[in-house]
Amino acid sequence: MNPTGTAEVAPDLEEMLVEVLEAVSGEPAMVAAERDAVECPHAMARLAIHDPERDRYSIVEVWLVASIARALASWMLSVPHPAREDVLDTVGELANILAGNVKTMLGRSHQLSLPEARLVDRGRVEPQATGACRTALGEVLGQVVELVVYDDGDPSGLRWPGEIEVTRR
Amino acid sequence: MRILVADDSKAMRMIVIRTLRQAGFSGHTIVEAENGRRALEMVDGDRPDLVLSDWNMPEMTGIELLKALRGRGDRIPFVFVTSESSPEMREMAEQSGATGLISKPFTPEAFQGALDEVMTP
Repeated sequence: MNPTGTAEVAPDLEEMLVEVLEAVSGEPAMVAAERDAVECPHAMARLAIHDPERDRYSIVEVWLVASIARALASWMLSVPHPAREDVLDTVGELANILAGNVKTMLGRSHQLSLPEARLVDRGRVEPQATGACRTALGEVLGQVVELVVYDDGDPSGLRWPGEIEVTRR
Repeated sequence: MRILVADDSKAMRMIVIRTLRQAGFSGHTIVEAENGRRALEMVDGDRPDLVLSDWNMPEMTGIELLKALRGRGDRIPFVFVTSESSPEMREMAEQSGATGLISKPFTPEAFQGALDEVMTP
């Protein structure tokens, strides 16, 4: 198999999202029936997947409301009131698991960045990406979690494993 | 048994430790490292009997950590716990001397399957 873009992974995204949400929450999850905007305040995390053959970066983003991010952090860390950095760590790891599975679907020579997570009080951070995107919607604890995979994006600001650095193209 | 858990995510380290207990591997001493470089230092200082390591970490990756250990002749059992589990990465892990690879998300059963042999005295 030698897939060339995110179109190939689209059919598997929702199933994978639900599986990961159940694993990180300890709660049942399902495919969300309708697309509702992720309300503020919310949390998001992003990673890049580098395809060295095409020298392109797929961008993986995960969006969820802040209350669910805190609930996940509380469950994962076994603390009633997780600190802000713990919430960011949890959202980053959720995105890392999802992006790692997307990378596995995409191809063998791709490289995954480290996650960057943030809490957003208002508005929505605009993606630094172009081209087609694939969206999967999952629901856990009564709230929607959105997974977006962009075909082509800018990895600026993201860190890479080890000591590799990538500059803006 | 002394187990070193290396992952740059504190939340994931907690999940790994919890899953160890759920898999029936209780009563062991757990030490934690937030990247491969720190894990390498702790292998020297804490002398763990098993390393459970993420693959992608800042400063030193899991595969760099494994190669550093094997390069100096350290045969400590080493199991990857990673979100990336393509056949090529499994092959690279095996060729570099890994004992096994557990893919995220995981279950206690996955831990049992990968660790039973290592954890059994």
